[in-house]
Amino acid sequence: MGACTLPLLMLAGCAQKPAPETGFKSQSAASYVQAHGLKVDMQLPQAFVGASTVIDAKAAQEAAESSHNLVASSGNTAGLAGLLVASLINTQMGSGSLQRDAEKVALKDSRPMADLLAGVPLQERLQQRYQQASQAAGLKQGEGQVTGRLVIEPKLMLTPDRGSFVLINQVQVQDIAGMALYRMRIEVASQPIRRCGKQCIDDGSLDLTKVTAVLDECIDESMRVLAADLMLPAPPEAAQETLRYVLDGQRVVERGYQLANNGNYWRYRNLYGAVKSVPVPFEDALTQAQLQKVYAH
Amino acid sequence: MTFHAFRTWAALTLLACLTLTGCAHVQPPVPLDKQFWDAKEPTIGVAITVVPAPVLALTGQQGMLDYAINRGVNSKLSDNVEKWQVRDLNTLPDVIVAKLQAKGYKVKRINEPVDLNAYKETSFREGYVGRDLTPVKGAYGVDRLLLVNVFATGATRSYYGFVPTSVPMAQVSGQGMVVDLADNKLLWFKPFTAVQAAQGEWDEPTYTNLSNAFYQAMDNSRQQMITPFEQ
Repeated sequence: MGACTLPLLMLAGCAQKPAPETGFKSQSAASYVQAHGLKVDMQLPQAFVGASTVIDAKAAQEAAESSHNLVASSGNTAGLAGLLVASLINTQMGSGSLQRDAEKVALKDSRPMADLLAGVPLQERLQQRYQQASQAAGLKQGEGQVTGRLVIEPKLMLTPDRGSFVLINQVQVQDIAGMALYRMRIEVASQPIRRCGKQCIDDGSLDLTKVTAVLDECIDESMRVLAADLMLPAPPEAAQETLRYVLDGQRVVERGYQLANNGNYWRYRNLYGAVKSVPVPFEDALTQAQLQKVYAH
Repeated sequence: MTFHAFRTWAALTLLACLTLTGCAHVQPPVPLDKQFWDAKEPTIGVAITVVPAPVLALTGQQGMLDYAINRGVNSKLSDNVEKWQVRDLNTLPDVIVAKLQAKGYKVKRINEPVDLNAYKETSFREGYVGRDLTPVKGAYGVDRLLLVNVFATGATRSYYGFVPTSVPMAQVSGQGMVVDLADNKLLWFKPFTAVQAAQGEWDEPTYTNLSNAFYQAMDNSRQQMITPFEQ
């Protein structure tokens, strides 16, 4: 009886998964930074370069359908025992297998970029660039003993077409005692890194000068986003909308809150609280005047 | 049994068979043809039906007790689904109006949601709408009606008894049509169903990925309705 109950509960799946860490901002974060300034501490992760996994939508749909049919028909023909067997088969085939294959391909695709950047003293270079960018963005620099700490853990994630990347920054502002005043994921989508430009096909080899120039631009935008976000109030629930844009030929649709755009970059906060900045305009975007009106309520 | 009685029984049996087997007629899609684009004179009314509120639909083989258990287990998810917004569908006619106006067509936005049940049902005729929509012509002063008819919004999850056989999937379904209000002829007919799985975990406390999937399914439906008028 007990042996039967356990798998059944597992299949029924009652337990909820924990939500990923959401953004957080203490009310005193902005005033603390203005009063005491920040010292930048860039912490380079071991796997700085990654690539997003790509699963063909049609293959995924077919795998999901075959899994569903397998489970449903097992239930019809062999009852609950059939469902248990089917669920075991499903973990080895179908969607699970597609995911594993996609992860292998992503690892392989990230190798050329990782090899290219391996020749650069990244820790020193990125630390210096983040510091310059934070200063240029208007964040007060910390001097002396009593100062805040800006901890940044960056990750470069190649996009599905591998023609650009997203710089993912896990950012934390800490006070002198090390207590977090602000924690945010800031994602900046880059301009194309292909040598021949946006709409072209080349041999796929990477140019270090181009890559570092694009990376620097993303770092600058990341710090501008941080400086702006520290000052922004939390968006009202009524401001939630569907953001739509086309990035690298892929249509992106995400629910969130539009933020004021800056130059070539359009920004929004998603439902997890992360701030995303993309170098393309949103469809049916709110104007600055409309945004001010929404946030005033 | 007399011949008359036999004939009566035979007729009743045939009628019962026809009723029970349900001679369901399905209107196949009708592509938007050149005739539509060539006619710039007729006024096109653009409207949407009342968009049903999002719900969680539990499908599959379930007894009454199973269904009650499954509803209970999914109550939090169901509450969440009911909070999803369908404003993006209600604004869809405005987008289509703008596209047609930009091409120089006479277009009128019909602001009230159209209730198809208010119009008389007609017998099935392929290539014609199943309701008599000709009164719309006089009521709104339009010659053609471009209607987005949304059937279902929300999420669906299948069960075998009380065991789930699928994860919840966001869904939006309906049909788009252009009707000639002189004779109810379909100048365009396109059924759509957008089903979207959550990207990442679906069962987080706030169901964020599933919510995003719903808005993606809604965007997919919008695109299916907008694209034919962008040519």
